[in-house]
Amino acid sequence: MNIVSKRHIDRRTFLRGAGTALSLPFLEAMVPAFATRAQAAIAQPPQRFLAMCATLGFHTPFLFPKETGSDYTLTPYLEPLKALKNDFSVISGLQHEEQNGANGHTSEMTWLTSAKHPGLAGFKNTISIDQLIAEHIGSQTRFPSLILGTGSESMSWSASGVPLPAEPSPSNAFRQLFVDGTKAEVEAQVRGLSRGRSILDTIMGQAKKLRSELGKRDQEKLDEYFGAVRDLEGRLVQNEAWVQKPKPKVAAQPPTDIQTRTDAIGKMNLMQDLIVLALQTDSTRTITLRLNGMNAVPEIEGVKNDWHNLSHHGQDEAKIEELKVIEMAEFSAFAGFLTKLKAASLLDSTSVIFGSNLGNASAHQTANLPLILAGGGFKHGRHIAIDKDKHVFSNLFVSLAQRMGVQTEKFGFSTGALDIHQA
Amino acid sequence: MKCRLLAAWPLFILSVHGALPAIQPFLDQHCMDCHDGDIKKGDLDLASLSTDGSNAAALKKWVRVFDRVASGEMPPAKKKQPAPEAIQDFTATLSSDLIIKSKAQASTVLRRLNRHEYQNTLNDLLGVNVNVIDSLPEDGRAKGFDNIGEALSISGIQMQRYMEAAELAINTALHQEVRPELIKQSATLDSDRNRKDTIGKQWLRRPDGSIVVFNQGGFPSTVIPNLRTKQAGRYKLRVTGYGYQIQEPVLFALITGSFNFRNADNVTHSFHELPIDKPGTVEVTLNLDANKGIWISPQGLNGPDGHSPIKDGPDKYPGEGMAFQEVTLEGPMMTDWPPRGQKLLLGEAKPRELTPEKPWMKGKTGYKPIFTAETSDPFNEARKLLPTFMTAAYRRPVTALDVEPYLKLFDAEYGASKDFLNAMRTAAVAVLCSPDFLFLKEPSGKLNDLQLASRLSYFLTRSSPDEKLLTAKLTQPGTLQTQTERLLESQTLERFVVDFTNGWLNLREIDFTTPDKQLYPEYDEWLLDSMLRETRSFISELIHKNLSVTNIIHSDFAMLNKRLAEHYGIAGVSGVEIQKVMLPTNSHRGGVLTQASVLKVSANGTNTSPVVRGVFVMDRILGVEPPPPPPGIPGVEPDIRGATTLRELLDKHRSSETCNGCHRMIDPPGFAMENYDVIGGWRERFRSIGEGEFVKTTAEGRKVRYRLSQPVDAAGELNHGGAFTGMADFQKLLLSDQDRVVRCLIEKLLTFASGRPMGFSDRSEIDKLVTQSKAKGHGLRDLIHAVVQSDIFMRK
Repeated sequence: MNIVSKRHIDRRTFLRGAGTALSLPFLEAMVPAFATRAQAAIAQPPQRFLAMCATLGFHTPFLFPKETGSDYTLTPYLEPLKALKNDFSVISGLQHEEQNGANGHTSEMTWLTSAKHPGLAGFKNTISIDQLIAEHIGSQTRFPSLILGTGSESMSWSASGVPLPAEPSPSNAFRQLFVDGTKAEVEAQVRGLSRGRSILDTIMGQAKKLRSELGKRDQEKLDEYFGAVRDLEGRLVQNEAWVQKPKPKVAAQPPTDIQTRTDAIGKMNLMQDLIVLALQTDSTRTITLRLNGMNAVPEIEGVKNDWHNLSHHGQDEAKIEELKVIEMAEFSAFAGFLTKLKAASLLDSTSVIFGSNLGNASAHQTANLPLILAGGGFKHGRHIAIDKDKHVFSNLFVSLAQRMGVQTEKFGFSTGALDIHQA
Repeated sequence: MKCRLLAAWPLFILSVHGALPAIQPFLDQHCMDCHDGDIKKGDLDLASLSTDGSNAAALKKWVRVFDRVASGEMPPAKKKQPAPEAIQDFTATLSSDLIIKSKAQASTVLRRLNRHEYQNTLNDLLGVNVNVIDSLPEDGRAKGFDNIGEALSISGIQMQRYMEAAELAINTALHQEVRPELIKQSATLDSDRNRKDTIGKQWLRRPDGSIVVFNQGGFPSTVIPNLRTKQAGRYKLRVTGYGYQIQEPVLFALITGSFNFRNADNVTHSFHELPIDKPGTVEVTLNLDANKGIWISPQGLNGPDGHSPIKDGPDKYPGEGMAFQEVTLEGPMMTDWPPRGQKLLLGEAKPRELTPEKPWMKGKTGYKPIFTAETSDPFNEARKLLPTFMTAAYRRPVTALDVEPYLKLFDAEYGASKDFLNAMRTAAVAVLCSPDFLFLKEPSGKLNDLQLASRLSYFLTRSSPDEKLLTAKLTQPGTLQTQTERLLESQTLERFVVDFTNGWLNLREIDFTTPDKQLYPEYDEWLLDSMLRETRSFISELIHKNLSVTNIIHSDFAMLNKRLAEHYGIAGVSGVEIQKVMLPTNSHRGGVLTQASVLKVSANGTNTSPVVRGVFVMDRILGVEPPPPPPGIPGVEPDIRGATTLRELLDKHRSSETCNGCHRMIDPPGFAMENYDVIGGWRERFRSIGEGEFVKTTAEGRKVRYRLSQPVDAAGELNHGGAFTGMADFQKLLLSDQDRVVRCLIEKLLTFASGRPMGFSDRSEIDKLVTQSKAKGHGLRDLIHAVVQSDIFMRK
């Protein structure tokens, strides 16, 4: 019998820095690591979750088929996906409620959270679905979650409603995921992590002293600081557990970051390739990828105008045609990605949502959002038109979270769980 | 009706209105018909609206109820109006209650340094010039500003970035053994052998030795070969040359970036001109990171169609060009040696670089040098140095209790590594990540001298207080006045102007949209650069000369350079520098609402929307925040095919009563601005790419492809009366209520200065400030002084 001498992270290590009663998400998940290895041994691949958001929207007349059900005519954007027809569903009619916000694009903040009135007075965001999932299963992998983007902002938000920055550099991410340091580097890393934790211990002590001198509202603000320190501490502890373990070996070469600021598709492809590797090596089981539009001309053949400008086409047909070129390129890249996932036998165990926070970008509307749901072991092949009485997007998140093993009946402003097999 | 009221009566009694029974009868009689739980007109349900003071959204609604009844807007004209005494009682009672509730919330929530403040502070503390802003996440906003306590959050990843930023800045200060050498580099375009192929084919070598470039843009490259910074620091750049075959001085952009210019980090620094009759030299002093290069990019060079240097030969080509002579780069220039960080953290100990195990590693890029430092008595040295460092970092004297944990950290780290520099750095990183550094510590009530020093410094210099401020008795009005004056005279005031206008006028988002190339071919980067300088110089001028705030609405002068003057159709302005220009009559310019930056940032790249601009003016100039649109109302789809104007599409705002309520307030300022397009140019007809009349104009040497369609209709009527035909009338109407504009600006200044939004309980003091300002002629400099002396500023 194999004796798995895995280090089970000591609860006391965490509580050392405590003092105030704050929810410590990682504690929930501090189960002995070999439990999931056993699961893997029974050849039950773990479930994964991936959310991809294109922030300048998709022109939905080119996406949503006229027919519902499985007998639909391919629309331009579904053409690149035609070989994968039974691996994805097109879902129309979804939206979050009350998304009017500080400006036409603030719904980017709430795509994965469903909070209302993003950016307006009194707005406080809530946890994004990927982070909720990470809270529950994150400790089982080297990275509780992977937050990626083609820029520095992400789609992910912490439990305390704080925005989480994205990793915009594929080479950085690759290095963190797959490149082992030399023995000296690893030693330095271990020392660095330990030093980091000493620093955090010191400032935590300072913060506790400060808290007692503050009024209620200030204490609440300082609690955010506590949460951040606690979060980083947890990260460092997890890293300490993993840093001595050799990282998984991949055949792929480390990617070179794309220097051309406007090569959106290039960046998208690099990130997608990285995601395949991350999933193949079980480095993480929940990922978000933010695909930024830009206020510039994207490097795509046939496109001569500013992308943001084109998305505000004002019904002009020439602009819509040029916008189509950009969005076709995005869908082609996405199709390539799904094909790779399928070839690596990952698609069935990975729920992928690909869409946008904008339903009609030209008018900054957030209703009738474009959405592709792929993989995850669902029965696909249909265009599902969600009727407007049941159109709550977060209902889909509830089902996806459940599929990831999160015991919950609710997420954000959900009104139930959306079972696409019944819809 | 009566039955329904009676049946619902118990609900009212139990409802949260229990807190305010005095106003109940008024609400029942005049409001509940439309604003109860069933009808909820305008999404206002007074039956269930919370009276909990800590519910920000509800409190806001109650304030709106107060305002609309006090101004007579509600009940609407067609309903039975309450007796004047009833309104008096109602508003007085509600007002007292709102003041109490709002006062409980009116204090700055523990305010974290935002990215800009953090970077400035870190650099000032350590005497370095590092860029850490880009590695920190964007700051949350409230009321348009990014330095409001309650909106600034912090995540675990951000904590990590703070640790990395502190480490970077400290290392930059400590990793220098000797004062960096001042190096003077000189180059010409042919300093690089590769360029020799271009000369004679696309570039012309003249008898005087200069090389004339006819291309603008990247190819052939006009990056200056061999000029490269070894270290980060302050540099002096000199560019010598002249314009060739051109009628006016030749324009070039100064662009900096990573040495090979293949990274995505090019930054356009500024625009400059060289003369035409004889060579001239442009001198620029600027901060540069290590390993940066210089790209001098000529702009706006025109040539006749059908000709090119390759076709004609550079000697025969008749088009415009820029003759490059010598370019020199001198630096880094250091004033302070050793850097402050070194003095604070090492004292007498000297840093020493360690040779790596494999010496060849030193030459490779990405090599991180390792430094160490020794001292004979490390433990006592730390006990001497850390308290001084912490006092400087915390912006207040520290106690033994404060220092103790950091000394413990030093001791532990020194014990483990036996490296004095490393141990000091560890303790210092911890100090720079602690809440006493990251947050402004302000207790409830009146601020003391030190707390005021921080607040005042971050307000007007965007960084930590200097020695003079830290030792001044700022709680004394005379001293506060003197110190404020000193800061207003300082170079750092520019940081205030940039950051304040970024929030107040949303100039932070100036680049959020790019003007459509077909519709606005005359738009270029130089115009963008100039329009920002215009607004910033304008506000600076109002401060320096203490000019009236009413200049924001209309001024008889503008701050222009050649590019802006050309854009606005004003003759007689030359040069790239911004200068004060007295405006001719009928210039259509004057005041902030006619400035290109404001006109651009309140529009998108394709069209203007009177609603968006109306909201901008209401919120930022008139101090009235319009409520958001009712949920479920889809936005209007703009149509640039030329058939209809947005104004026509917005007709529902006038014809529908539901819409009219808010839109008769919101739209009119937007209409007045309709004569200004998305880049701030004057127009009497809309440009379209579909229908319309051909235009015989050229831009950038080419015929324009847009056409002129519908005429602009800039007429409108203000909510409380006053019709106008366009911007000129509109400005006059606004000037008839100057106090409103002043009040709005005071509110914005107070918000930015105190790091908290203004609330209902602040109104009476703001009113006092308005009256005070009026007596002195509304000068902006005076206003800033008044803001600083106010109770709101001097209390948490």
